[in-house]
Amino acid sequence: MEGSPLSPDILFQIGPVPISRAVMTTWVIMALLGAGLAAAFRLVRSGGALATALEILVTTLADQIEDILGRDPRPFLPLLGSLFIFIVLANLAAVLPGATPPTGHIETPAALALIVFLSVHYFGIRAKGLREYLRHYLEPNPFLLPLNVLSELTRTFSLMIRLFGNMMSHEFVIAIVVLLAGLLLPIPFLLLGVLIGIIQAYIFTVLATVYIGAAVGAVDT
Amino acid sequence: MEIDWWTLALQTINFLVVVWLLSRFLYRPVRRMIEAREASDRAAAEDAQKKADEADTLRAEYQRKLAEFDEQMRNREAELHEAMQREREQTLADARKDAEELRAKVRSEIDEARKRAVADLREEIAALARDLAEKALSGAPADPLACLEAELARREATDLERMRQDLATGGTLTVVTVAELSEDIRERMRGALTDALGESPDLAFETDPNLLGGLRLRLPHGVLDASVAGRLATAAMAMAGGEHDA
Repeated sequence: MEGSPLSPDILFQIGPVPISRAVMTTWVIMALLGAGLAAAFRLVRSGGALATALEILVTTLADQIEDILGRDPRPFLPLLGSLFIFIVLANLAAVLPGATPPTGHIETPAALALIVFLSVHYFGIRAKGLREYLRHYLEPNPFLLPLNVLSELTRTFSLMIRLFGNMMSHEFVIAIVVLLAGLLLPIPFLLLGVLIGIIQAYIFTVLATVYIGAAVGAVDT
Repeated sequence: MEIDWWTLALQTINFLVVVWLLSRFLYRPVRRMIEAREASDRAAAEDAQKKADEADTLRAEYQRKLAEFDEQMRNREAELHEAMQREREQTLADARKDAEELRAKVRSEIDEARKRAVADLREEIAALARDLAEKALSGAPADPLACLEAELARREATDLERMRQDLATGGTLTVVTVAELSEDIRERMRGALTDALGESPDLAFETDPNLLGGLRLRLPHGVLDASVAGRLATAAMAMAGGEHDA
Protein backbone atom coordinates (compact mmCIF):
# COMPACT_ATOMS: atom_id res chain seq x y z
CA MET A 1 0.00 0.00 0.00
CA GLU A 2 1.24 3.48 -0.79
CA GLY A 3 0.43 6.64 1.13
CA SER A 4 -2.57 6.84 3.42
CA PRO A 5 -4.69 3.70 3.69
CA LEU A 6 -7.70 5.99 3.42
CA SER A 7 -6.71 7.45 0.10
CA PRO A 8 -8.20 5.86 -3.01
CA ASP A 9 -6.24 2.89 -4.28
CA ILE A 10 -6.04 3.65 -7.99
CA LEU A 11 -5.39 0.54 -10.07
CA PHE A 12 -5.32 1.98 -13.56
CA GLN A 13 -6.70 4.78 -15.74
CA ILE A 14 -9.21 4.63 -18.60
CA GLY A 15 -8.55 7.86 -20.44
CA PRO A 16 -8.95 10.58 -17.83
CA VAL A 17 -10.91 8.30 -15.51
CA PRO A 18 -8.93 6.66 -12.70
CA ILE A 19 -10.27 3.25 -11.74
CA SER A 20 -9.91 2.61 -8.03
CA ARG A 21 -9.85 -0.79 -6.33
CA ALA A 22 -13.33 -0.09 -4.90
CA VAL A 23 -14.76 0.47 -8.38
CA MET A 24 -13.04 -2.62 -9.68
CA THR A 25 -14.38 -4.74 -6.82
CA THR A 26 -17.84 -3.34 -7.43
CA TRP A 27 -17.62 -4.29 -11.07
CA VAL A 28 -16.64 -7.83 -10.16
CA ILE A 29 -19.55 -7.99 -7.74
CA MET A 30 -21.87 -6.64 -10.42
CA ALA A 31 -20.61 -9.14 -12.96
CA LEU A 32 -21.16 -12.04 -10.56
CA LEU A 33 -24.57 -10.68 -9.58
CA GLY A 34 -25.54 -10.19 -13.20
CA ALA A 35 -24.40 -13.69 -14.18
CA GLY A 36 -26.18 -15.21 -11.20
CA LEU A 37 -29.38 -13.32 -11.92
CA ALA A 38 -29.29 -14.22 -15.60
CA ALA A 39 -28.97 -17.90 -14.66
CA ALA A 40 -31.63 -17.62 -11.96
CA PHE A 41 -33.90 -15.71 -14.31
CA ARG A 42 -34.36 -18.78 -16.49
CA LEU A 43 -34.90 -21.02 -13.50
CA VAL A 44 -37.40 -18.64 -11.97
CA ARG A 45 -39.59 -19.06 -15.02
CA SER A 46 -39.57 -22.82 -14.77
CA GLY A 47 -40.21 -22.75 -11.02
CA GLY A 48 -38.37 -24.96 -8.52
CA ALA A 49 -36.47 -24.53 -5.28
CA LEU A 50 -34.32 -21.64 -6.48
CA ALA A 51 -37.35 -19.75 -7.65
CA THR A 52 -38.93 -20.30 -4.25
CA ALA A 53 -35.75 -19.11 -2.49
CA LEU A 54 -35.66 -15.95 -4.60
CA GLU A 55 -39.34 -15.40 -3.96
CA ILE A 56 -38.76 -15.74 -0.22
CA LEU A 57 -35.91 -13.19 -0.45
CA VAL A 58 -38.01 -10.68 -2.34
CA THR A 59 -41.15 -11.13 -0.25
CA THR A 60 -39.11 -10.86 2.97
CA LEU A 61 -37.60 -7.57 1.78
CA ALA A 62 -41.03 -6.33 0.73
CA ASP A 63 -42.55 -7.35 4.06
CA GLN A 64 -39.79 -5.54 6.00
CA ILE A 65 -40.38 -2.38 4.00
CA GLU A 66 -44.12 -2.68 4.43
CA ASP A 67 -43.72 -3.16 8.19
CA ILE A 68 -41.83 0.12 8.46
CA LEU A 69 -43.78 2.18 5.93
CA GLY A 70 -47.23 0.72 6.52
CA ARG A 71 -48.06 1.00 2.84
CA ASP A 72 -47.61 -0.81 -0.47
CA PRO A 73 -43.87 -1.56 -0.68
CA ARG A 74 -43.72 -2.03 -4.45
CA PRO A 75 -42.63 1.52 -5.43
CA PHE A 76 -39.82 1.41 -2.85
CA LEU A 77 -38.67 -2.17 -3.28
CA PRO A 78 -36.27 -1.63 -6.23
CA LEU A 79 -34.28 1.06 -4.42
CA LEU A 80 -34.38 -0.23 -0.84
CA GLY A 81 -34.07 -3.91 -1.69
CA SER A 82 -31.15 -3.15 -3.97
CA LEU A 83 -29.52 -1.08 -1.25
CA PHE A 84 -29.60 -4.02 1.12
CA ILE A 85 -28.41 -6.59 -1.42
CA PHE A 86 -25.67 -4.30 -2.77
CA ILE A 87 -24.32 -3.34 0.67
CA VAL A 88 -24.37 -6.97 1.86
CA LEU A 89 -22.44 -8.09 -1.22
CA ALA A 90 -20.04 -5.15 -0.98
CA ASN A 91 -19.40 -5.77 2.74
CA LEU A 92 -18.92 -9.50 2.22
CA ALA A 93 -16.24 -8.80 -0.38
CA ALA A 94 -13.95 -8.60 2.65
CA VAL A 95 -13.85 -12.39 2.80
CA LEU A 96 -12.63 -12.69 -0.78
CA PRO A 97 -8.84 -12.86 -1.07
CA GLY A 98 -7.32 -9.77 -2.63
CA ALA A 99 -10.55 -7.80 -2.42
CA THR A 100 -11.37 -4.99 -0.02
CA PRO A 101 -14.96 -4.05 0.68
CA PRO A 102 -15.85 -1.00 -1.47
CA THR A 103 -17.84 0.32 1.49
CA GLY A 104 -14.59 0.60 3.42
CA HIS A 105 -13.69 3.59 1.26
CA ILE A 106 -15.56 6.83 1.69
CA GLU A 107 -16.66 7.19 -1.94
CA THR A 108 -19.06 4.20 -1.98
CA PRO A 109 -21.01 5.08 1.23
CA ALA A 110 -21.05 8.65 0.00
CA ALA A 111 -22.55 7.61 -3.32
CA LEU A 112 -25.19 5.51 -1.53
CA ALA A 113 -26.00 8.27 0.96
CA LEU A 114 -26.29 10.75 -1.89
CA ILE A 115 -28.72 8.49 -3.70
CA VAL A 116 -30.77 8.03 -0.52
CA PHE A 117 -30.72 11.81 0.04
CA LEU A 118 -32.06 12.46 -3.45
CA SER A 119 -34.55 9.58 -3.28
CA VAL A 120 -36.04 10.94 -0.08
CA HIS A 121 -36.93 14.17 -1.86
CA TYR A 122 -38.05 12.34 -4.98
CA PHE A 123 -40.46 10.07 -3.12
CA GLY A 124 -41.60 12.90 -0.86
CA ILE A 125 -42.46 15.21 -3.73
CA ARG A 126 -44.07 12.41 -5.67
CA ALA A 127 -46.26 11.46 -2.71
CA LYS A 128 -47.23 14.93 -1.48
CA GLY A 129 -46.57 17.40 -4.28
CA LEU A 130 -43.76 19.98 -4.22
CA ARG A 131 -45.52 22.69 -2.19
CA GLU A 132 -46.86 20.31 0.42
CA TYR A 133 -43.50 18.57 0.66
CA LEU A 134 -41.54 21.80 1.16
CA ARG A 135 -43.99 22.95 3.78
CA HIS A 136 -42.89 20.21 6.16
CA TYR A 137 -39.56 22.03 6.55
CA LEU A 138 -41.55 24.84 8.19
CA GLU A 139 -43.17 22.49 10.66
CA PRO A 140 -43.80 22.75 13.52
CA ASN A 141 -42.51 26.37 13.35
CA PRO A 142 -40.96 28.37 10.49
CA PHE A 143 -38.09 29.32 12.77
CA LEU A 144 -37.02 25.72 12.77
CA LEU A 145 -36.33 25.75 9.03
CA PRO A 146 -32.53 25.95 9.46
CA LEU A 147 -32.58 23.14 11.93
CA ASN A 148 -34.74 21.00 9.65
CA VAL A 149 -32.38 21.57 6.74
CA LEU A 150 -29.40 20.87 8.95
CA SER A 151 -30.89 17.63 10.24
CA GLU A 152 -31.57 16.62 6.66
CA LEU A 153 -27.87 17.05 5.86
CA THR A 154 -26.46 15.59 9.05
CA ARG A 155 -28.51 12.44 8.93
CA THR A 156 -27.32 11.82 5.40
CA PHE A 157 -23.78 12.45 6.53
CA SER A 158 -24.20 10.13 9.52
CA LEU A 159 -25.63 7.47 7.23
CA MET A 160 -22.48 7.69 5.12
CA ILE A 161 -20.02 7.86 7.98
CA ARG A 162 -21.65 5.01 9.94
CA LEU A 163 -21.26 2.55 7.12
CA PHE A 164 -17.83 3.80 6.12
CA GLY A 165 -16.49 3.92 9.66
CA ASN A 166 -17.61 0.44 10.57
CA MET A 167 -16.28 -1.21 7.47
CA MET A 168 -13.07 0.77 7.36
CA SER A 169 -12.31 0.15 11.00
CA HIS A 170 -13.02 -3.52 10.60
CA GLU A 171 -10.59 -3.63 7.69
CA PHE A 172 -7.98 -1.96 9.81
CA VAL A 173 -8.54 -4.30 12.73
CA ILE A 174 -8.03 -7.30 10.49
CA ALA A 175 -4.96 -5.78 8.89
CA ILE A 176 -3.47 -5.06 12.33
CA VAL A 177 -4.36 -8.55 13.64
CA VAL A 178 -2.77 -10.13 10.58
CA LEU A 179 0.34 -8.02 11.11
CA LEU A 180 0.62 -8.94 14.75
CA ALA A 181 -0.59 -12.54 14.95
CA GLY A 182 -0.06 -14.21 11.61
CA LEU A 183 -2.36 -16.12 9.37
CA LEU A 184 -4.97 -18.18 11.26
CA LEU A 185 -5.97 -15.85 14.06
CA PRO A 186 -7.94 -13.39 11.88
CA ILE A 187 -10.48 -16.08 10.91
CA PRO A 188 -12.85 -15.31 13.84
CA PHE A 189 -12.51 -11.66 12.94
CA LEU A 190 -13.47 -12.45 9.37
CA LEU A 191 -16.57 -14.26 10.63
CA LEU A 192 -17.32 -11.27 12.81
CA GLY A 193 -16.87 -9.16 9.67
CA VAL A 194 -19.61 -11.16 7.94
CA LEU A 195 -21.96 -10.42 10.83
CA ILE A 196 -21.00 -6.74 10.93
CA GLY A 197 -21.43 -6.46 7.17
CA ILE A 198 -24.98 -7.84 7.28
CA ILE A 199 -25.92 -5.75 10.32
CA GLN A 200 -24.58 -2.55 8.73
CA ALA A 201 -26.47 -3.31 5.51
CA TYR A 202 -29.64 -3.82 7.53
CA ILE A 203 -29.12 -0.59 9.51
CA PHE A 204 -28.40 1.43 6.41
CA THR A 205 -31.49 0.07 4.62
CA VAL A 206 -33.79 0.52 7.58
CA LEU A 207 -32.67 4.10 8.11
CA ALA A 208 -33.11 4.87 4.42
CA THR A 209 -36.60 3.37 4.64
CA VAL A 210 -37.44 5.46 7.69
CA TYR A 211 -36.23 8.64 5.96
CA ILE A 212 -38.28 7.89 2.88
CA GLY A 213 -41.23 6.99 5.05
CA ALA A 214 -41.01 10.31 6.83
CA ALA A 215 -40.84 12.09 3.49
CA VAL A 216 -43.92 10.39 2.12
CA GLY A 217 -45.73 10.98 5.40
CA ALA A 218 -45.93 7.34 6.44
CA VAL A 219 -43.54 7.50 9.39
CA ASP A 220 -43.10 10.15 12.07
CA THR A 221 -39.49 10.97 12.94
CA MET B 1 -8.32 12.10 3.67
CA GLU B 2 -9.45 12.99 0.22
CA ILE B 3 -12.44 12.02 -1.86
CA ASP B 4 -11.92 10.72 -5.34
CA TRP B 5 -14.84 12.28 -7.16
CA TRP B 6 -14.42 9.95 -10.10
CA THR B 7 -14.84 6.97 -7.85
CA LEU B 8 -17.87 8.59 -6.23
CA ALA B 9 -19.50 9.14 -9.64
CA LEU B 10 -18.65 5.65 -10.85
CA GLN B 11 -20.00 4.06 -7.66
CA THR B 12 -23.20 6.08 -8.02
CA ILE B 13 -23.59 4.83 -11.56
CA ASN B 14 -22.67 1.32 -10.46
CA PHE B 15 -25.34 1.31 -7.79
CA LEU B 16 -27.96 2.58 -10.23
CA VAL B 17 -26.95 -0.23 -12.60
CA VAL B 18 -27.35 -2.70 -9.75
CA VAL B 19 -30.80 -1.28 -9.06
CA TRP B 20 -31.71 -1.74 -12.70
CA LEU B 21 -30.26 -5.26 -12.79
CA LEU B 22 -32.17 -6.34 -9.73
CA SER B 23 -35.38 -4.73 -10.92
CA ARG B 24 -35.11 -6.31 -14.31
CA PHE B 25 -33.94 -9.78 -13.30
CA LEU B 26 -35.19 -10.25 -9.76
CA TYR B 27 -38.07 -8.11 -8.58
CA ARG B 28 -40.08 -8.07 -11.77
CA PRO B 29 -39.94 -11.82 -12.55
CA VAL B 30 -40.68 -12.71 -8.96
CA ARG B 31 -43.55 -10.27 -8.87
CA ARG B 32 -44.89 -11.68 -12.10
CA MET B 33 -44.55 -15.19 -10.75
CA ILE B 34 -46.48 -14.22 -7.62
CA GLU B 35 -49.11 -12.42 -9.64
CA ALA B 36 -49.45 -15.35 -12.02
CA ARG B 37 -49.86 -17.71 -9.11
CA GLU B 38 -52.37 -15.43 -7.42
CA ALA B 39 -54.24 -15.13 -10.71
CA SER B 40 -54.28 -18.88 -11.13
CA ASP B 41 -55.33 -19.26 -7.49
CA ARG B 42 -58.06 -16.73 -8.06
CA ALA B 43 -59.09 -18.49 -11.24
CA ALA B 44 -59.13 -21.80 -9.39
CA ALA B 45 -61.15 -20.23 -6.60
CA GLU B 46 -63.53 -18.72 -9.12
CA ASP B 47 -63.74 -22.02 -10.91
CA ALA B 48 -64.42 -23.76 -7.65
CA GLN B 49 -67.02 -21.13 -6.80
CA LYS B 50 -68.58 -21.61 -10.21
CA LYS B 51 -68.60 -25.35 -9.77
CA ALA B 52 -70.08 -24.95 -6.30
CA ASP B 53 -72.74 -22.66 -7.76
CA GLU B 54 -73.43 -25.18 -10.48
CA ALA B 55 -73.63 -27.91 -7.89
CA ASP B 56 -76.01 -25.75 -5.86
CA THR B 57 -78.13 -25.16 -8.94
CA LEU B 58 -78.09 -28.84 -9.72
CA ARG B 59 -78.97 -29.71 -6.18
CA ALA B 60 -81.82 -27.21 -6.18
CA GLU B 61 -83.01 -28.63 -9.48
CA TYR B 62 -82.73 -32.13 -8.14
CA GLN B 63 -84.60 -31.21 -5.00
CA ARG B 64 -87.27 -29.52 -7.07
CA LYS B 65 -87.61 -32.62 -9.22
CA LEU B 66 -87.68 -34.78 -6.16
CA ALA B 67 -90.44 -32.65 -4.68
CA GLU B 68 -92.29 -32.81 -7.98
CA PHE B 69 -91.88 -36.54 -8.07
CA ASP B 70 -93.09 -36.77 -4.48
CA GLU B 71 -96.09 -34.66 -5.37
CA GLN B 72 -96.82 -36.87 -8.35
CA MET B 73 -96.43 -39.95 -6.23
CA ARG B 74 -98.81 -38.52 -3.66
CA ASN B 75 -101.34 -37.62 -6.34
CA ARG B 76 -101.02 -41.03 -7.93
CA GLU B 77 -101.41 -42.65 -4.55
CA ALA B 78 -104.47 -40.58 -3.77
CA GLU B 79 -105.95 -41.43 -7.16
CA LEU B 80 -105.22 -45.07 -6.66
CA HIS B 81 -106.65 -44.96 -3.19
CA GLU B 82 -109.77 -43.27 -4.48
CA ALA B 83 -110.14 -45.76 -7.30
CA MET B 84 -109.66 -48.60 -4.90
CA GLN B 85 -112.22 -47.09 -2.58
CA ARG B 86 -114.65 -46.69 -5.43
CA GLU B 87 -114.08 -50.19 -6.63
CA ARG B 88 -114.42 -51.58 -3.17
CA GLU B 89 -117.66 -49.75 -2.66
CA GLN B 90 -118.86 -50.91 -6.05
CA THR B 91 -117.90 -54.49 -5.31
CA LEU B 92 -119.46 -54.25 -1.89
CA ALA B 93 -122.68 -52.85 -3.35
CA ASP B 94 -122.69 -55.56 -6.01
CA ALA B 95 -122.08 -58.24 -3.46
CA ARG B 96 -124.75 -56.82 -1.24
CA LYS B 97 -127.19 -56.74 -4.14
CA ASP B 98 -126.28 -60.28 -5.11
CA ALA B 99 -126.67 -61.39 -1.55
CA GLU B 100 -129.98 -59.62 -1.33
CA GLU B 101 -131.21 -61.26 -4.51
CA LEU B 102 -129.90 -64.60 -3.37
CA ARG B 103 -131.53 -64.16 -0.03
CA ALA B 104 -134.84 -63.18 -1.63
CA LYS B 105 -134.61 -66.14 -3.97
CA VAL B 106 -133.74 -68.49 -1.17
CA ARG B 107 -136.49 -67.07 0.94
CA SER B 108 -139.01 -67.50 -1.84
CA GLU B 109 -137.71 -71.02 -2.38
CA ILE B 110 -137.95 -71.70 1.31
CA ASP B 111 -141.46 -70.27 1.37
CA GLU B 112 -142.37 -72.38 -1.58
CA ALA B 113 -140.85 -75.43 -0.03
CA ARG B 114 -142.59 -74.71 3.22
CA LYS B 115 -145.89 -74.22 1.48
CA ARG B 116 -145.29 -77.37 -0.43
CA ALA B 117 -144.30 -79.18 2.73
CA VAL B 118 -147.33 -77.82 4.54
CA ALA B 119 -149.55 -78.93 1.66
CA ASP B 120 -147.88 -82.32 1.62
CA LEU B 121 -148.25 -82.52 5.35
CA ARG B 122 -151.90 -81.60 5.14
CA GLU B 123 -152.45 -84.19 2.51
CA GLU B 124 -150.60 -86.71 4.59
CA ILE B 125 -152.48 -85.71 7.69
CA ALA B 126 -155.71 -85.99 5.75
CA ALA B 127 -154.67 -89.43 4.55
CA LEU B 128 -153.64 -90.37 8.05
CA ALA B 129 -156.91 -89.13 9.48
CA ARG B 130 -158.72 -91.08 6.88
CA ASP B 131 -156.63 -94.15 7.70
CA LEU B 132 -157.25 -93.55 11.37
CA ALA B 133 -160.94 -93.19 10.93
CA GLU B 134 -161.01 -96.19 8.70
CA LYS B 135 -159.01 -98.19 11.17
CA ALA B 136 -161.07 -97.03 14.14
CA LEU B 137 -164.44 -97.39 12.61
CA SER B 138 -163.96 -100.48 10.48
CA GLY B 139 -166.25 -103.17 11.67
CA ALA B 140 -167.61 -100.96 14.41
CA PRO B 141 -171.36 -100.77 14.38
CA ALA B 142 -172.87 -97.39 15.09
CA ASP B 143 -175.87 -98.81 16.74
CA PRO B 144 -175.16 -99.10 20.53
CA LEU B 145 -177.09 -102.39 20.85
CA ALA B 146 -175.32 -104.03 17.94
CA CYS B 147 -172.13 -102.63 19.29
CA LEU B 148 -172.79 -104.21 22.71
CA GLU B 149 -173.64 -107.50 21.19
CA ALA B 150 -170.54 -107.47 18.99
CA GLU B 151 -168.44 -106.51 21.99
CA LEU B 152 -169.88 -109.25 24.16
CA ALA B 153 -169.39 -111.75 21.34
CA ARG B 154 -165.81 -110.61 20.89
CA ARG B 155 -164.94 -111.00 24.57
CA GLU B 156 -163.67 -114.33 25.77
CA ALA B 157 -165.11 -116.25 28.66
CA THR B 158 -162.39 -115.12 31.07
CA ASP B 159 -163.24 -111.52 30.40
CA LEU B 160 -166.89 -112.19 31.06
CA GLU B 161 -166.04 -114.12 34.23
CA ARG B 162 -163.95 -111.19 35.48
CA MET B 163 -166.90 -108.84 34.81
CA ARG B 164 -169.18 -111.18 36.63
CA GLN B 165 -166.88 -111.30 39.64
CA ASP B 166 -166.56 -107.58 39.59
CA LEU B 167 -170.27 -107.13 39.60
CA ALA B 168 -170.63 -109.78 42.31
CA THR B 169 -168.81 -107.47 44.73
CA GLY B 170 -171.93 -105.38 44.49
CA GLY B 171 -172.00 -102.45 42.15
CA THR B 172 -173.67 -100.96 39.19
CA LEU B 173 -172.81 -101.68 35.57
CA THR B 174 -173.15 -98.32 33.91
CA VAL B 175 -173.77 -98.19 30.18
CA VAL B 176 -172.47 -94.93 28.71
CA THR B 177 -173.70 -93.91 25.25
CA VAL B 178 -173.66 -90.79 23.12
CA ALA B 179 -177.41 -90.34 23.06
CA GLU B 180 -180.27 -91.24 25.37
CA LEU B 181 -181.40 -94.79 24.68
CA SER B 182 -185.03 -95.85 24.21
CA GLU B 183 -186.63 -98.19 26.77
CA ASP B 184 -186.85 -100.97 24.20
CA ILE B 185 -183.14 -100.77 23.47
CA ARG B 186 -182.44 -100.71 27.15
CA GLU B 187 -184.42 -103.89 27.68
CA ARG B 188 -182.73 -105.63 24.81
CA MET B 189 -179.32 -104.55 26.18
CA ARG B 190 -180.26 -105.88 29.59
CA GLY B 191 -181.29 -109.18 27.90
CA ALA B 192 -178.05 -109.42 26.02
CA LEU B 193 -176.00 -108.73 29.15
CA THR B 194 -177.99 -111.21 31.15
CA ASP B 195 -177.33 -113.82 28.44
CA ALA B 196 -173.62 -113.08 28.43
CA LEU B 197 -173.13 -112.91 32.21
CA GLY B 198 -175.62 -115.51 33.19
CA GLU B 199 -177.39 -113.17 35.63
CA SER B 200 -179.13 -109.85 35.40
CA PRO B 201 -176.80 -107.05 36.46
CA ASP B 202 -177.80 -103.91 38.20
CA LEU B 203 -177.82 -101.52 35.25
CA ALA B 204 -177.59 -97.74 34.94
CA PHE B 205 -177.56 -95.57 31.85
CA GLU B 206 -175.55 -92.37 31.18
CA THR B 207 -174.78 -90.20 28.17
CA ASP B 208 -171.47 -88.77 27.12
CA PRO B 209 -171.16 -86.95 23.75
CA ASN B 210 -167.44 -87.32 23.88
CA LEU B 211 -167.71 -90.99 23.06
CA LEU B 212 -168.65 -90.00 19.47
CA GLY B 213 -170.26 -93.38 18.88
CA GLY B 214 -170.53 -96.93 20.26
CA LEU B 215 -170.67 -97.40 24.03
CA ARG B 216 -168.67 -97.86 27.16
CA LEU B 217 -169.43 -100.30 30.00
CA ARG B 218 -168.24 -99.02 33.33
CA LEU B 219 -167.81 -101.62 36.04
CA PRO B 220 -167.07 -100.85 39.68
CA HIS B 221 -163.40 -101.74 39.11
CA GLY B 222 -162.95 -101.58 35.34
CA VAL B 223 -164.10 -100.33 31.99
CA LEU B 224 -165.04 -102.07 28.77
CA ASP B 225 -164.56 -99.52 26.08
CA ALA B 226 -166.31 -100.08 22.75
CA SER B 227 -166.71 -96.40 21.93
CA VAL B 228 -165.52 -94.63 18.77
CA ALA B 229 -163.44 -92.32 20.92
CA GLY B 230 -161.75 -95.32 22.52
CA ARG B 231 -161.10 -96.95 19.21
CA LEU B 232 -159.68 -93.70 17.81
CA ALA B 233 -157.39 -93.35 20.79
CA THR B 234 -156.20 -96.93 20.42
CA ALA B 235 -155.62 -96.48 16.70
CA ALA B 236 -153.73 -93.19 17.29
CA MET B 237 -151.56 -94.87 19.89
CA ALA B 238 -150.88 -97.73 17.52
CA MET B 239 -149.98 -95.26 14.77
CA ALA B 240 -147.73 -93.23 17.03
CA GLY B 241 -146.06 -96.48 18.01
CA GLY B 242 -145.69 -97.23 14.34
CA GLU B 243 -147.55 -100.48 14.73
CA HIS B 244 -150.39 -101.70 12.62
CA ASP B 245 -152.86 -104.06 14.06
CA ALA B 246 -155.34 -105.60 11.79
